[in-house]
Amino acid sequence: MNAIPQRDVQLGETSSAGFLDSVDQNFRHEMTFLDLPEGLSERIMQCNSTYTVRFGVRLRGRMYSFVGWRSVHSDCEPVKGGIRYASNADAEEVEALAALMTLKCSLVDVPFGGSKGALKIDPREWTPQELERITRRFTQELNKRGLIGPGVNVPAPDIGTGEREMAWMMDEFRRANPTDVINARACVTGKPLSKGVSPVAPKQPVEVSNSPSRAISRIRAPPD
Amino acid sequence: MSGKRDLKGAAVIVQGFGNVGYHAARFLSEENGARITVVAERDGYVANADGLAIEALKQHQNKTGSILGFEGATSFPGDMKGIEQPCDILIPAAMENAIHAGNAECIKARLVVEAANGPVSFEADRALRTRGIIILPDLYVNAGGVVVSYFEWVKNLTHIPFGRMERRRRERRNQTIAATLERRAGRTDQIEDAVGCVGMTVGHRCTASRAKPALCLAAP
Repeated sequence: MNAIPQRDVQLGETSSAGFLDSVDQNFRHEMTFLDLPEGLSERIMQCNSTYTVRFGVRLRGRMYSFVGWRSVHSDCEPVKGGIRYASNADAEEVEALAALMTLKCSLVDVPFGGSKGALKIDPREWTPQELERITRRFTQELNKRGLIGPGVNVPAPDIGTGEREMAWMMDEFRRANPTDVINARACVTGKPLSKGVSPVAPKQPVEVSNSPSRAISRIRAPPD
Repeated sequence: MSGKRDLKGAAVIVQGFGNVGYHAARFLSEENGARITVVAERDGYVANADGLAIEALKQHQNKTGSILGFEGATSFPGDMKGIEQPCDILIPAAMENAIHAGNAECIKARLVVEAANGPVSFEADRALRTRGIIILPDLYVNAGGVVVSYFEWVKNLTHIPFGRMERRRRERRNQTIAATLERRAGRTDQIEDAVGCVGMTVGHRCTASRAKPALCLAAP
């Protein structure tokens, strides 16, 4: 079934085997410092849901099957986490990374729960045009299940993905939800500057009161 | 790190030369004067005890698809022991479980900075800490990514350009500084003029010293 062009296993491709165990062990260890009611730490540790999707895309004159995951660790919505494109991705790895996202978001106090996604694919095997079709199809599948959207689940780039993929996902999401175009851009982060992340500097000339122009020139200089 | 508090001249090993590893290496070498002695990738590593030219190495990688064969360094194709070389700081910025029970004993760094997510396994974490190696955890080190993502998300939802918000904040801050200085000095001339510089410089320093290390090691 799986006739995706396969590449020999790369030298030094680290194995994610045992990664979820490792994260869980860390979690259990840290939980011993908290005084939680019995069973609660286990509940916090587990991923709430992991969605597996298999879909086909017709490319190069035939059908190719792909498998992807999106795991939601906590239901503190919206949930946040990257989407990785890697040939060695699997559901366990995604769950472990989703758990780390929950902890990270609470640590730096951003109001997100943890999530993570992956698509089992080696992006180097495909042309940008093919990757776009695959990414758009993957986005449709996530959208169907409520696993992408400004208020529910907000993906970001990870290994093998970047601002280009985020722009495709945002565009596909916007097409699928034409009634909420005003907020649709917030369905992913890590987008290119031209797609909703305008640079910090405003377009109009900066006029800071109490600050003469030489002050502005001074802040442009590197810090000592 | 044994009383050493300066990054200048520190030997740094970076594993993974993607977005995270490249920017970490770049800022540490260009802005802090650290020596990037080893850059390790999935197909081997390159080493130069005097410090690698990071920008040139990135261009070489973009051109050839690999860091190996870079002119300003010795290449070790297929060798996964790059992270086991002696150094002050080791930055695993590639994949999870890069440091595991099997190689933890061979790590010779004094400080391990987890730029990737979960690059040190549970057993390896214990093994390193038993040997007195300090580990900066991933949840802190690469949290800059999700913080910036949060700002992007907020900006998309509020539909207010950040530049405008920042300008108002800076105005308020500068006015506060001006008022304080006036109160303390009991005079109003000259201070008005100087205070813009003070406020801006302070703000710039804060950005440079606090935000940037987190941001440059950001893995989303």
